[in-house]
Amino acid sequence: MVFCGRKLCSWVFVSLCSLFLVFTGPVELFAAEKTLRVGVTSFADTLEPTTQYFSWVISRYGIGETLVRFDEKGTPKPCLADSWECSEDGKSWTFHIREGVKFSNGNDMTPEIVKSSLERTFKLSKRASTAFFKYSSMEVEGQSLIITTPEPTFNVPGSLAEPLFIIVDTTADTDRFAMDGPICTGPYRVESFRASDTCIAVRNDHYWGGDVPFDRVEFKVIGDQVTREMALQAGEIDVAYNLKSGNAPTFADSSKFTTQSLPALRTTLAFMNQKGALGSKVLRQALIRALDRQTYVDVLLEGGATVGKAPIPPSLDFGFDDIVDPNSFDQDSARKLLSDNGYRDVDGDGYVEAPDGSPIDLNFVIYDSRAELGIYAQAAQINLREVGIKVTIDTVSYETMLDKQEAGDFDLIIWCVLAANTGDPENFLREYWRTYSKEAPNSNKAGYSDKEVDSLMDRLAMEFDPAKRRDLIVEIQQAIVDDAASVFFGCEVTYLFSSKKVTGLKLFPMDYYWMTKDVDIAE
Amino acid sequence: MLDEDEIIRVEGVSKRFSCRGRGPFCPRRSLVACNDVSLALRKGETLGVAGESGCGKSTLAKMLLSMEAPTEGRILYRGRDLVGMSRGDRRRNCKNIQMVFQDSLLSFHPRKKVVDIVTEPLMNLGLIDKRDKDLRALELLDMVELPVDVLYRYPHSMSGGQIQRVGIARALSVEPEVLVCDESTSALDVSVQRNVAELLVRLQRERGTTMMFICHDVALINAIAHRLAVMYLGHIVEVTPTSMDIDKKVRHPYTKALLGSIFSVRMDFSRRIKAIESEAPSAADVPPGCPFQDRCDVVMDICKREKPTLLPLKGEADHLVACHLFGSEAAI
Amino acid sequence: MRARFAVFAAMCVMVISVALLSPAIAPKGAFDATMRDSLKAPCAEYPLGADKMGRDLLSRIIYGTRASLSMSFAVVISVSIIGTFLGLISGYFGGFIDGVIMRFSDMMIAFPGMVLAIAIAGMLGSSATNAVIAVTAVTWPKYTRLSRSLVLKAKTSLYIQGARLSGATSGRVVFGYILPVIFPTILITAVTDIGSMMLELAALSFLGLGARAPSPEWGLMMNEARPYLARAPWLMVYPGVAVIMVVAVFNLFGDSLRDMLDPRHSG
Repeated sequence: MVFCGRKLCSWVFVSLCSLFLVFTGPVELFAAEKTLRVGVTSFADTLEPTTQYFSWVISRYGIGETLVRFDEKGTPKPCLADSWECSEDGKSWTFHIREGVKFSNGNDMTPEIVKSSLERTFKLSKRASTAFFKYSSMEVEGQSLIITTPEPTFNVPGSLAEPLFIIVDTTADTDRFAMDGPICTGPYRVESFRASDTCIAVRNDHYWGGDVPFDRVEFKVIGDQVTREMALQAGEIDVAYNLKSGNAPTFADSSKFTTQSLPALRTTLAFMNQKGALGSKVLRQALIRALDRQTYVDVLLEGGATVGKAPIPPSLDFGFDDIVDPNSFDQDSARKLLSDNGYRDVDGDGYVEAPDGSPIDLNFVIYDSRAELGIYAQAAQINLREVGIKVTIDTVSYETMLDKQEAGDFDLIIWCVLAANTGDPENFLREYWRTYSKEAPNSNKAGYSDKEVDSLMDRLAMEFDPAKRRDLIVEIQQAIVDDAASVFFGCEVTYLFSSKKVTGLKLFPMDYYWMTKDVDIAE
Repeated sequence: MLDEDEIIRVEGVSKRFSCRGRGPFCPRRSLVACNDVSLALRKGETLGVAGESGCGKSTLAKMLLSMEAPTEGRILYRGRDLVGMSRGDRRRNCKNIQMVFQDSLLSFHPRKKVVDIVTEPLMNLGLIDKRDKDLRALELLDMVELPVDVLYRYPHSMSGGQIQRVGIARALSVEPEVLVCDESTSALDVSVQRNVAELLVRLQRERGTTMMFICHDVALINAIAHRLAVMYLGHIVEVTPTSMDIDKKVRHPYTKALLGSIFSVRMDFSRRIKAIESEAPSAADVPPGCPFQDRCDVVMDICKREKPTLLPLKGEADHLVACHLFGSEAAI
Repeated sequence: MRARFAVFAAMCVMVISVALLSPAIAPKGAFDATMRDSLKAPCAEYPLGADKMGRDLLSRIIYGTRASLSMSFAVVISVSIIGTFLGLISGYFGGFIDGVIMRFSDMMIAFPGMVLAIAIAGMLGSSATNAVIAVTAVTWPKYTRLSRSLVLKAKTSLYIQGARLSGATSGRVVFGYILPVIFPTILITAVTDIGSMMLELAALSFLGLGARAPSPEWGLMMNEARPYLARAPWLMVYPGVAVIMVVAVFNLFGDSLRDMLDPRHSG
């Protein structure tokens, strides 16, 4: 019994000690290490770069790099490739691979590994060939990698700048990438990763690009906007991503905090599933006309966005102002459109029924990690109620939202996306508005199909002259808008709040670069 | 030897309860409540069962009513074994054997009125329709000489005698062939006890009911029963017809002592009251041999080795005694 | 004691009639919004202010009574039926059935209730119905254990033996004899629990696991108010006050009902 008692006591002591350690936190324990704490929202269940959009997280955390990298103006610039050129016929791109680059495990980054890494991406991710480009061959020639495409392809460098094409060491154990993090070339490498909790990155001692300031960067997943705001305010984190204009007053004190904002490429839209009730163009038009989007961005989002109209946001010059929206806000015309076309409230519940008498209840799928999406959706629901269109909001996790989008299980689905993630909107437009087919699968699960749009896109793919490309892109957008294919809510103004002592933090229009070697802390 | 008049036959019934010894490692002990009990109830007779508390009277009653299952032996009702009966049959057999409890109030549902209580068995067995309930209840109240106005009262507002009458009315509502009264009058005042006992006797005579009257009061049994069975530590030690001079007729030393301990107004107070020395041994550790050996005045060597069997006395076929004193006489 | 009961009963009736008559009482509809009035402070037009979408907070709180009451009544009724039924079976028949039911309820009790409810609601997805299911799923063991212990006590009593002797079937013994005896205790417990169920449901909604936007539910309204806590505190305060008031009314009502039906437990 005495023994038992002692044993029990020691157990209690040990557990108390560990509790103490947990609550005092790693700050004291690792005080000697130079640490940066970043509050983030994360959608990555694993760190396998070829799964969904998880590679974005790898790029943002400063772990993975691509051959090409965008600068602050969205122009492709050398990164792991130090130069590139295109052949006359536009079908062959030669990338010269930078020498002296090592992976975080110390292996040299050879053109062969680059080739196998890209091949791995194309093999594992459907998106690589559907959303970017198809290649017919990839050859190593000395220090160069030659990529040949079956068709002339304009934007191979911009495509390879998308984090999906992060270069990983394929000679390492790739099965462990998902949980232990991929072996890449960025300034930091993954030490530990717990999805929806923390990702701890430590200095990559083999980094090629110069000195890396931090021993350790902690990415804390704080999904809730208010909590993230308060965490930065309390000094629990040094940087908070994905906060909104509404948070700006909290960080108005410029002696303590730095506020950056940038009109972003991120656009919020809703796809309308044409396989359901929204197959009717009249209903789609009435729906768009009912939405007072100007009020959404001005009042509800307090200037956190600019009003939407067309697929490509005004921050890129693809004719946003030239596009005419035939369905601008006009609730009376929306009501008239509905009643003229047989959409009437037959059962007296305040909502219209379809001309065949079946009730309409549009399922609007949104996800919860971005606060403004709920506001857009609720505002839309209120406006649509005013014209008699019933909408039920289904709030799900981001992952479930992706599944529902994939399965076409929605009437309306919110989509918040970088409109030109390759610096050129061609792929963006093809991805979401080109007719879906088994031969050329894309993310257009809403059933939108327009022959004219398809043929314009095919012409765009063959066109290498920037001015003509712009004209084509404007024409495509106008067609999409005329068809009332999607609801374009608004284009986001992004905010980045950080502690004053953090330096070198920059907002990029392409939202791939959060942690770079330039981010440091002033003591 | 099937007797036409024999309604209940108890054959070699034993009931043992196993109980945990003190401390976790002590062996389990078994408590013998009834040990090899054999009895017969004839139609229309009243059998009184007497004995000290804990001698197994109530266990015997419970087994008759199938509230407990015997460990050994069988109980026959009109030749049918009650022990092996299915649940449904046992339930339907309620109609034939009924019981009046010592404290009837506790046996009544706290939220039922007299009208519901007296007709409870009739309703449960589906013997009457809901509409006839009140009428039937009135008849039953009349039978047990209760006023009409108690019909819608709750029993807990009634006197002890009235409550026992309600209990009797409930038991007799299904016109059972056998009525078991387990100390049914013991908790009552003497005068009330007398009234209730008289009621029981009257009803028993009128209806020809067979009755087992369990009571520790041998005098009361002698007054109302036809036969007396005396139990000691789970054994039946003597069965004898009752009579005015029963105290002279009984033979077993225990029965004698029991009868000797009756107080009566007419008793001779100059005579020393002979108490039975020492406490009765616990039913949990019955010695081998005669159960009464430790307290018997006339104990013999054989009493410590062999258990006496219940046998008729010579010349008195309906007087049975289990005692070695009469072993030679009993041999027929 | 009766006076106290009458007062609280009247208050409960008041709360319930607010729920039933909300369209008549509320100045505006629960979903009527003027977006330009987003986050307006309390004023003549919006006595308790307007929420983010420009809806009248007072009207939404009044309509919210419906959601809160119907959800908590649904929980209390279903737990007392399910829990009592299982407890009756478990206590009366004992043996294997008892073992299965009790071990299962031990398992449920072993988890902290709210955490388990959150897990269940999270698994089922957020909706008012699922929140009710989640809270029911963690609350029934309480009623099962309560009714089981009452049954065990009743089972040994003489009137149950009497009932069996009078030819009652098992079903009749359970539902005709035991249930009426244990019912008052169950009823008192259920009424006293309305308040805490309401809190748990509001908590689930607050965590985004209960009612879904835009339905006017107090917990959800408080959740929606969080981003504007500093700028529009009324959005958080008034639904909170509503929850506290109604919960208090039902708790006091439950207590006074217990005092009245079962004076032994009072004081």
